Amino acid sequence: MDVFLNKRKAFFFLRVIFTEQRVMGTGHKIHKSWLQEYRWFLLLEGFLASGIFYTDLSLELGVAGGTLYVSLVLVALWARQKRYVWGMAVLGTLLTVLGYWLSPPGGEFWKVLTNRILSLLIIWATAVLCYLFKVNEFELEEAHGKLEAQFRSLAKKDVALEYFNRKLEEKVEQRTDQLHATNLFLEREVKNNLQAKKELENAHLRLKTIVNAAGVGVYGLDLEGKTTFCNPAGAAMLGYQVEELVGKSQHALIHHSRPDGSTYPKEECLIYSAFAKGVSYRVRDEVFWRKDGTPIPVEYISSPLYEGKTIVGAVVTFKDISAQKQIEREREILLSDLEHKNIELKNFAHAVSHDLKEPLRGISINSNWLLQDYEEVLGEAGKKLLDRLSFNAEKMYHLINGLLKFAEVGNSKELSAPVQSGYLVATIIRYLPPEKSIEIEIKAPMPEIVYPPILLEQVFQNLIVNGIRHFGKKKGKVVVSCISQEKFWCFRVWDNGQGIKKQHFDRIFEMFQCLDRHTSPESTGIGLSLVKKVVEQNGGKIWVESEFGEYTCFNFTVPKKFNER
Amino acid sequence: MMRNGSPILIVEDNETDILCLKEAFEKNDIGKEIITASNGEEALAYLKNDSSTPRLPNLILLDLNMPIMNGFEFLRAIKSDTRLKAIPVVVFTSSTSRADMNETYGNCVAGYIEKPMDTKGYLEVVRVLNQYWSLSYLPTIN
Repeated sequence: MDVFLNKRKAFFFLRVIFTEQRVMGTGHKIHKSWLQEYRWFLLLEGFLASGIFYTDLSLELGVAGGTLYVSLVLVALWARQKRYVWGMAVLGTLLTVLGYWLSPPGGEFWKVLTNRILSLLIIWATAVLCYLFKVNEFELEEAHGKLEAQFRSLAKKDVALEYFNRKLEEKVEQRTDQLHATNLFLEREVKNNLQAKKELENAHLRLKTIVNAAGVGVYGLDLEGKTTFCNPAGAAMLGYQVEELVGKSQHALIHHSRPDGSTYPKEECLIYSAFAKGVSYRVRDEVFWRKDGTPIPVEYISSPLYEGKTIVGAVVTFKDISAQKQIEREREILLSDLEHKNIELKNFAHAVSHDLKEPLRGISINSNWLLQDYEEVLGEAGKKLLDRLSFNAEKMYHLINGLLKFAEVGNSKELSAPVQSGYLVATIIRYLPPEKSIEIEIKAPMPEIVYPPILLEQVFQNLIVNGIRHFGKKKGKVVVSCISQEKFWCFRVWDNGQGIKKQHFDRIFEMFQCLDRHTSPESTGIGLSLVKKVVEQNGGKIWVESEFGEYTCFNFTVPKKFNER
Repeated sequence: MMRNGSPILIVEDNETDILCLKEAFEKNDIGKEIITASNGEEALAYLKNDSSTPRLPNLILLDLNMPIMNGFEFLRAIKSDTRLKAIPVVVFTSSTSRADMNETYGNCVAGYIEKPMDTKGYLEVVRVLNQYWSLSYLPTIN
């Protein structure tokens, strides 16, 4: 928008005429049509111009009729635009000049001319004045408009400001809430911290009490290896007062020498290694030296002490293991004694099995030969004696074997394995000497169990052979069967032989207890005690049920779960 | 008596046992040459002697309890010898200890027979041996 400066106002009138139509001050273009806007103005101006022109024409030349056109210019002030002032001035000028030619002649020429020129001068002087007035008015309006605009923008800013203000207030409110919450939280934290501190103090106190009351020695070391604290028990063990230890180099004081008296360099000390290397050590074969210069064997654990992630020293717990060492020594002696005894026993068993059996076999075989080669010389009485000799030798032989087997149960570690019990019993029966009068039956189902196979074989073998050997009747049967119980398998070896009297139920399981001793050299009275030993060592029980003259039934159990032994 | 194939080696210190065994072999009519050694060392000396190579036994009957070198030592010695370890060894002993049984079976013996108490027992032993091994037809060991 053009702004007219005072100095240049005079030169502007021409330019203003040709500038496009604007409504000053408002800043808004006018959208109404030009005719609509100015119709009253134009009507008035037209009326005035035609009236004055008519008046001029009706007057004689020489009357200054053109002067009236000043009113046109003045009315143009009414118009909003400055150029109408000039327009009306030009119209007035044209009409004045036209009037000069058209007015009825009269007066002198120079007077007429002078009148006309004067009129023109007056018109133009008024126009200039009007224009200047208009320009001033415009400037004022413009200034007013600007002010108004500024005021409006200010108002707008005000609104924005208010908005921001509101936002700010909201924010402030939020922050206040947050602060409040934080404050509460902090308060709680402080409270918790206080409580924690109190608990920590309590824990510390408790720990201190525990450390002081502990039966083991506890002391701490700093990074230089100086004692930082020591519990009374520890100090007492070492023959010192607590105050005598704190602040002193622990190694030089109590750990300076090895058990054999040789110097223990500080660099090799495992207590120091704890904080030098950050590793815990447990040592059982070193000594601490008491104040009176005597060593005590100790077991100690040296652990690095951390504060955060940095090692600040070590904590050592130790106990006097003199008594323990003594016990260990005694135990070692006992163990080696036991081992010695075991070896002796083994050798003894070996000697029995070889050296006792060999001469017996010699006796037996040689008496066989005697019988074969000198039958006639010996006669009936001699033969009987030799028979008895060989019977006794054989009996002795079986006794020795039985004893060895009995001793072996539990001494040798027989491994358990899954055994198909039915198959095992069938195998035993197949290798028994044939006995036509006694039928042996296996009643299905027979389970698969976990048992040392050889021992199970010995159990069944002894029970079945026992049943056959002491059958005591001409005909009958032996039945092997199994009943499944909740936790056990219960095996039964039943026979309908002569049976056992009730008073013998316990005796039959005792060593060397044979109810009919002289039937066979192989019945030694060891079989059932061996069976009992095996069954009981493998977590089972054995018992006998019998009706004398009717039947005998040996029952034994085997745990179903291998682990429950 | 027909003597065919390789001999049988009996390693045994007890004279009675050797006599009984020989008698039992004869009574079972097994025409086998029998070589005897009274302990492990003697037996090993025979087996390791090059001159005996063509006459290596194809069965060894081994007692366990012997002086100088017992059966276990002898067993370990021949089982670590590539030339001799193929010869089947049957332990023939009075020991019924399971430890002995386990140890000898651990050393790959072919059988374990308890010494019998009477002369009939020997006959039975040899009969069973023959039944099981067909002694007359055992292949020759090289």
